[in-house]
Amino acid sequence: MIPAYAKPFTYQIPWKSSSVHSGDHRGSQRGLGFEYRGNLSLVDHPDVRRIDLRQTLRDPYEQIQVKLFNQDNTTPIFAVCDCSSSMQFKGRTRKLDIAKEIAASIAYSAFEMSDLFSFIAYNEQVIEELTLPLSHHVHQSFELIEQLTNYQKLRISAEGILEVPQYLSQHKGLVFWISDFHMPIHLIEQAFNAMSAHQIVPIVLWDEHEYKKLPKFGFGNMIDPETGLSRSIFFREAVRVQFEQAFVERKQTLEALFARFDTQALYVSDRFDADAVSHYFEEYMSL
Amino acid sequence: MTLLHPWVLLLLPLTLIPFWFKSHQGQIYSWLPIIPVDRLSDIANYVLKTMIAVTILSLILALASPQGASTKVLKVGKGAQTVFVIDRSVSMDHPFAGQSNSGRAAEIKSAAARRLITRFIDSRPDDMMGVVGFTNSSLYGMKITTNIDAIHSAINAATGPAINQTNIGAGVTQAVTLFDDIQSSGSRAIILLSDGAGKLSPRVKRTITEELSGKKLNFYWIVLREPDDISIFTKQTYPDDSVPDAIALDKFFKSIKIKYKAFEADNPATLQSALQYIDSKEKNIIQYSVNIPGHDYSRDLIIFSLILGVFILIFKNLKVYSW
Repeated sequence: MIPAYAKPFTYQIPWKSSSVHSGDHRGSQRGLGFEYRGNLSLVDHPDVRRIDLRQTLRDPYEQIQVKLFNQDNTTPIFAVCDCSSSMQFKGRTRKLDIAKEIAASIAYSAFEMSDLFSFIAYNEQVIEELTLPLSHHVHQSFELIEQLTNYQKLRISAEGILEVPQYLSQHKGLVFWISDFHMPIHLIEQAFNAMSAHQIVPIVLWDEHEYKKLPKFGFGNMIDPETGLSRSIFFREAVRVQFEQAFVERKQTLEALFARFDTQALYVSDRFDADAVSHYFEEYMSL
Repeated sequence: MTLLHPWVLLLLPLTLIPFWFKSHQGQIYSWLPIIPVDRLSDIANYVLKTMIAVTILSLILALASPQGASTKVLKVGKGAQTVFVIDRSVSMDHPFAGQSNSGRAAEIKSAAARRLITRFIDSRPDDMMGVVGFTNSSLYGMKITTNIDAIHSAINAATGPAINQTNIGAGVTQAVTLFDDIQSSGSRAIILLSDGAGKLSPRVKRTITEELSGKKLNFYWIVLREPDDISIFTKQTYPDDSVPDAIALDKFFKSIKIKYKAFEADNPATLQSALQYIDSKEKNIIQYSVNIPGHDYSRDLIIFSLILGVFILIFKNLKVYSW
């Protein structure tokens, strides 16, 4: 059964897939497709159905020319989900629940595009029991992703992202990295370097309650779920401004980093909208 | 400054609790490093922790109850150390003898005694007085003290009615013991107020003789005479085997080598004049010391921690629980 929160979107990939399997993305494999690849003489490629009459007439050597096409192939799709404790933050919806919706939507979309899908969850390391290898088994993916609902582990960091590249395919794939990106910038950079063989789509989960909808006045004891440390903040207008400023700066830093790795972030706040992802691909990943 | 319970200071490390323990009450916030550094918040947090620590500290100190040094004040007064020995027998609730043919009941003896003794006390603010009541046995009223209120209360208690017995011996011996624990001021007197007399056993007589002469106590006996009672000042002579109790007792007191005077009051006026006489006789300079206890600091500490507690409560109410 397809869960209600799985909302498919459309996506393209800007590179040629090296897969041999028939799919929906442009591939480098010669075969039955729509992408014109070139001409060959009938002797070299005896496919009478694709004789190119116009080219044959224009050939000074009077060889019979045949059109060649590229086959459409599959591409591996990965959803890498941050399961560190900071994802337990709850504004209106828990971040991990939004991540769950996004992961299920990716699985569903990959299924509709007949692509291979793999789900990888990590915190301090990759969580094997919440990880599936590349497959077409969409329902298995749904079942696994559903398990995130009950995932509530605290005091655990996001260092495991550095292990994730080992779980990715050897061919270039599309990697959705779902995280709040609340981790040291050098860790993100290291991860991007390790995954540079792939096209990464960072999906940044920032809740408005983290910086825009802060308490107006009073004392708040902020506990970091990953380290257990706490800091007391006396909320007032000046602090709220500082918070927003901090997030603006953080966004700039992240975007500068993403730009260096030739990618753009997709920001999701308290609600996931599948159309936003479709628009994202039209905007940044079209041919 | 002394501590009554110094071992409570062992709890002092508890004051560090707010700095030791991390608070688990609060909100989960995804990432601490992104929270802007805010000096005011840090100061407020530190102040709050300090306030809690100081509250705990002052409570512990209050438990240790520090006391200021007690001081002794030397007081010099004119007067005497007097013990009232008051008869509480039922007959004290009868009217005075007065003139039996006046056709009008006189004042109740105990009420008059209370009124006049109270006035006597008030007129001598520097005196130290004690009170003993007695019926069939003595009743400790009040030690010899300068606390006027206490003496008044003791007099009130001692002039109430009790059972119908008059054991003068018990009263006097009890009164004598009151002089044991205080320094002599030179002028010491026992005022026995009774409305009758009883027989004293030879043993009691011996004790009283020893004690009165040994402690150099002046002795005044005010007899509140009932109608038809024999006056102790009567000229009549009685045969040895049928001497009335009162006269025998008077003779016994006269036989002791002390300053002794007996009065016979058959109305409030004569009682008052008897007291006035005693008042004029007992006017030596007396010196005594009063112990003033040191200041109890635990009260201040508790009030201080209460004020701090109110502030902590205000802090707590300013806390954000969700947003």
